[in-house]
Amino acid sequence: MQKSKKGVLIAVIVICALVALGACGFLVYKTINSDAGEQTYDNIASSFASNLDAEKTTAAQEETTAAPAETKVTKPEVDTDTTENPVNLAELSAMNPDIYAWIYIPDTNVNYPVAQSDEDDNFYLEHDVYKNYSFPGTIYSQACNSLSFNDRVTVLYGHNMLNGSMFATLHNFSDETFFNEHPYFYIYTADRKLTYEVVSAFEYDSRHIMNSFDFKDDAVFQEWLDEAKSPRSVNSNVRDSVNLSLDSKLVVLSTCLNYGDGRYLVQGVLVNDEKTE
Amino acid sequence: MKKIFAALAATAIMAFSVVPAFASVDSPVATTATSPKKDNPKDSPKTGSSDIAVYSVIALSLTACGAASVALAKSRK
Repeated sequence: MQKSKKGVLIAVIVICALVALGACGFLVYKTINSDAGEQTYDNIASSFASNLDAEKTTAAQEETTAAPAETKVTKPEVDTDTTENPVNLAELSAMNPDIYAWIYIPDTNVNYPVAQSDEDDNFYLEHDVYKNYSFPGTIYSQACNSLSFNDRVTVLYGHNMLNGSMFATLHNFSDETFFNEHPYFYIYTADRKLTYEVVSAFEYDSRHIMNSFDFKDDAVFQEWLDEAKSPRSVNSNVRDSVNLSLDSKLVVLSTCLNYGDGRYLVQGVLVNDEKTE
Repeated sequence: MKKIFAALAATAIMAFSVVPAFASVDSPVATTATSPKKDNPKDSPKTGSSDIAVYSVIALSLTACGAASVALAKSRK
């Protein structure tokens, strides 16, 4: 009986040690995979979006000359002059047809391709642009949104990675100074450069935005616009100078909070739609 | 005793096989799905990077391991 008890205790010790070792191994694997993912996106940015460096300088100049006190009408300005597209989306799409855009937010780590899978809405939550399993995943939208960014609300998802990659640096917008000094983010499609002005950044609950609201309904959309301008969140920053209307086209950038079950949202409204060549 | 070890080892292998990171993408199970999988839940996709569950497993395992070691040491006296 005594011998049997000792055997059970030894078995428990061995199993617990193996489980702890396995969990530690998983953490190491996750860290290595996350760092590899970051390296992958650095390589992609330098291969397919190297011309974005020149755009970054322009964006910095635009931000320093921005006049936030003025109230602006948010009906997007359509620029008929063509500018050069700094992102080679044709080659990216040839590599993976699911890639349809590129997002860049100045002074953050957000400088990534955007994908949408037509087979599994959350495929890119855990797969990189090469469709390999990856903890950082890819910045992505779901099939409920069109690929043209012409919907009233388009939601892009990205991981809140511990190493600061993907959408982790969206949390910079919780700092009032950063929020005020960085009014714009940019989305490039194959033939357009879309400039979005950041309306607000705030903590939200875990509701699935596109499944919870019917934005085709003007009343529902107006309610969403009202909340964008005055979010019911303690940790929120709002740009009062932006005036939203039913013609506005919003992009919501969504990532997880550093704690709890909610989401951190950064909302931008389309202010300029330029054709690119 | 051998049966206990074999059963636990089998359980551990099965547990790891359900973790997506360790599951083969080319497995027959993964490729038999033919209909598109659309996301239609009430909750937004989880984009957190929390490792709380893994750290909890490590803490619990080490605690159980420690308790078992103490019990074993006492039983030898």
